[in-house]
Amino acid sequence: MLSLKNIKKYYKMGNNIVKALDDVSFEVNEGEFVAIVGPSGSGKSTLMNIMGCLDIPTEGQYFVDGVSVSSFKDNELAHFRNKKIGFIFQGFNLLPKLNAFENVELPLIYQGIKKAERQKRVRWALGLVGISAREKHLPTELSGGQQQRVAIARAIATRPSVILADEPTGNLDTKTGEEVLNILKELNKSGTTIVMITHDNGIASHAERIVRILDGKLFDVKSKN
Amino acid sequence: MSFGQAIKMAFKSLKSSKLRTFLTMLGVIIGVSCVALLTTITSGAKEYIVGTLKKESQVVNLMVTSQTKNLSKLSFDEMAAEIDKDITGDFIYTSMAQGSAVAMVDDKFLQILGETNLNSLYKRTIALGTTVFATDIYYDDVRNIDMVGRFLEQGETDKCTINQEFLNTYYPSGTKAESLIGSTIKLFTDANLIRVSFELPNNVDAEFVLELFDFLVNIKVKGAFLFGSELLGTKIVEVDGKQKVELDANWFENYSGLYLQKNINNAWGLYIDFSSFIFTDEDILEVINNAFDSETVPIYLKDIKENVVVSNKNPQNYKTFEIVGVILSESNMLNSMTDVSFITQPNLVEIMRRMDKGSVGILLSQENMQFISSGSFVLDTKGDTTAEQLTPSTYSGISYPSVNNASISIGLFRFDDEKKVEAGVAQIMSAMVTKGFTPDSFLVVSMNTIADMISMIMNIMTIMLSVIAGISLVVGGIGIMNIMLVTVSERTREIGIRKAIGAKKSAILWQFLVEALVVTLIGGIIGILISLIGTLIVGSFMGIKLIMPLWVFALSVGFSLIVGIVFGMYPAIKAAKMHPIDALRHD
Repeated sequence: MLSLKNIKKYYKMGNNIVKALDDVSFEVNEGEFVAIVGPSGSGKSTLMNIMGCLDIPTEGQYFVDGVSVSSFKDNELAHFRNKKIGFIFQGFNLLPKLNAFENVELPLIYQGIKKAERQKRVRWALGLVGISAREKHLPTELSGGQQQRVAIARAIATRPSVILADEPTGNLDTKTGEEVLNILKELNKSGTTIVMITHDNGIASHAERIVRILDGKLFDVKSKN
Repeated sequence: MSFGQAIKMAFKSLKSSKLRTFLTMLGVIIGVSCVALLTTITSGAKEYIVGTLKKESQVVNLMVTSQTKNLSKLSFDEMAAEIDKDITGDFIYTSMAQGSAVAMVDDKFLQILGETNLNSLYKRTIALGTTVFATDIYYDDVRNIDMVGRFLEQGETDKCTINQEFLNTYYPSGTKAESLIGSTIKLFTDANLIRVSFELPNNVDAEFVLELFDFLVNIKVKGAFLFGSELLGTKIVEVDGKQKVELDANWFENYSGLYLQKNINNAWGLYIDFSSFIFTDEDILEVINNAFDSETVPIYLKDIKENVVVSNKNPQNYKTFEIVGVILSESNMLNSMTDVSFITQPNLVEIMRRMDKGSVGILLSQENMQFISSGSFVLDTKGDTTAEQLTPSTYSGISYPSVNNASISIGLFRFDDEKKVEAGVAQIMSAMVTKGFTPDSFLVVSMNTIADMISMIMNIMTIMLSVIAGISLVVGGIGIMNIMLVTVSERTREIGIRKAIGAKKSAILWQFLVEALVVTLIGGIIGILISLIGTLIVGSFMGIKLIMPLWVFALSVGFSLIVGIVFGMYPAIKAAKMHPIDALRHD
């Protein structure tokens, strides 16, 4: 359902051209749990941004559920993003002034969903990640692991086609990280497509498929464990 | 994202930094309250002033001027030649529709016209602050007066009215208006001059003269008083260590009533003139002797009275009038002078003419001899007086309303409404145009025109004040823009997150714009509330009932909205344009 074809992303830095992504092609099928592994500077963040519709490639095409998004404008991207993609960040990126409930609710507000339905979904999502009890807590009142769970809940509340997780366990200790990865695996089991970026092979091994990236190029695209 | 959501988000964000929000709002609060308060006060003051003026007078003055010559120097005959004789008072009256207005036509006009119908003769001369009106029965209709007793009626040529100022000035204090109804006063038609002179000892010194002067000035000849209270034109010099008065024969030109002059014996004489006073020689002497005999007079002055000489020309012609009414002063704010009114009659025309040349004295009663004079006189140096040689003072005579043109007033009174007055004026004007007057010889002056002028001036003032106050609002707006820019910058990461999870550009723009609008609107409302309180306070100080007009209210709200939109837009656009990836990378 995600299809990248000959994606190139170039930046101009003075007289140099930086090739962040150099002719990347790859597919993710529905229900897959893919990990993209690479060192820092490998272009994995750029890849993530394009896959997450936060950015458009310099060249190439990107299809999400059959829709070509590479020529979308900002507003179209935002709309698409809102509906199809759920994000999980390394730094959680919860809005500090909103409590857990409100954080999870926010993308639903942007989708224009009515209050009653929103409530249902938020509670469902919070329940799924096991953090219902802390619905009214602010992020500062939650531990790292709890915050990430809220972030996951936020990501799934919109029922996206794919969840993109950028180093989801990067700011967590091993044990909490394990918990988070388990949640992701649970989600995947129930049908959610997940693409995870990491620099850590150990974490990557939780996924069912590992793709490697180095200097803007992909390797082991089709390899499956 | 719905509008309601945006408002909720705005409130949440504003509440989280209450002090900052309040300080930002302060600019708008101050700006709006200034604008609202100032415009309310000026527009309320304007309403009050204009309303008072319009209520005050119901007289419209139609003035006819001659553009060609300076009429003030002309005699009546010459003036008549300037203006068409065919326009009579009747002509004017019949030019107006029946019952539309009452016209009081100025006497000058009618005299020029050779008008013999004196029903509407209106002339005045000023007698030392007393205005003697020869008027007509419509006077009280035109002037909107309150009175004790009643005004004059047709044919009552032996009755008069006085006003409050007259009562206050010339009657003992505490005299009630009601008590004067039925009493009489005398109007004198001849100029009367009494000169009292003292020969002074040869070596008069300054101290002596000054003491004498002080003494004389303080003689109250039962209410009569001397002209002048300064001994002008003398120089005090030191001779042999003593102060002496240097006497100068020429100084009296600037001054009248009391002066020093060399008499025929070449001795210095002190002359006091009482003009137009009813006293006989004997009366005067008696008064002066009494004064000098009183206990308070310095001893060395007692000898002076031996040298008193009185010369006079007795007035013989007077007429007695019965007071039928007293005009109360509060009712006529234009007339603050003392005032006696009579119905005009033929011999009074003569009286009035002669008032130009002399003065009129009024005797209130035998016991209470008041001295009123319309002027003073310069005597010829021989010390004789003859009426013909008297020159008029600057106080008496026909007063010309304008400096360069003689103009004639026709007073119009409205029976029922302003439109009829306007119609009446128009009719007279068009009638007079047929007689050869040019349209630009007319000048219509009324309280309404004055009120309209004032209204216009105050409108301009109101606008100016609003603009100036509005500047403070702009300053407040700049503060808002500044703070919103800071806010947007601080919340860069938040903007990035929101965009990542699906906020469109418009959602971000609205979020911040609404925040700015909430601040300005709430600030505006608080500002209006403050100005409402201020209005009450100022209104009670000024003694006017001040109400904030609806347009001021709307203007203030509108202003704050505009400020919010104008100054909030740029930061909001900046936020909306942020690139999510860069924003997410931000601290």
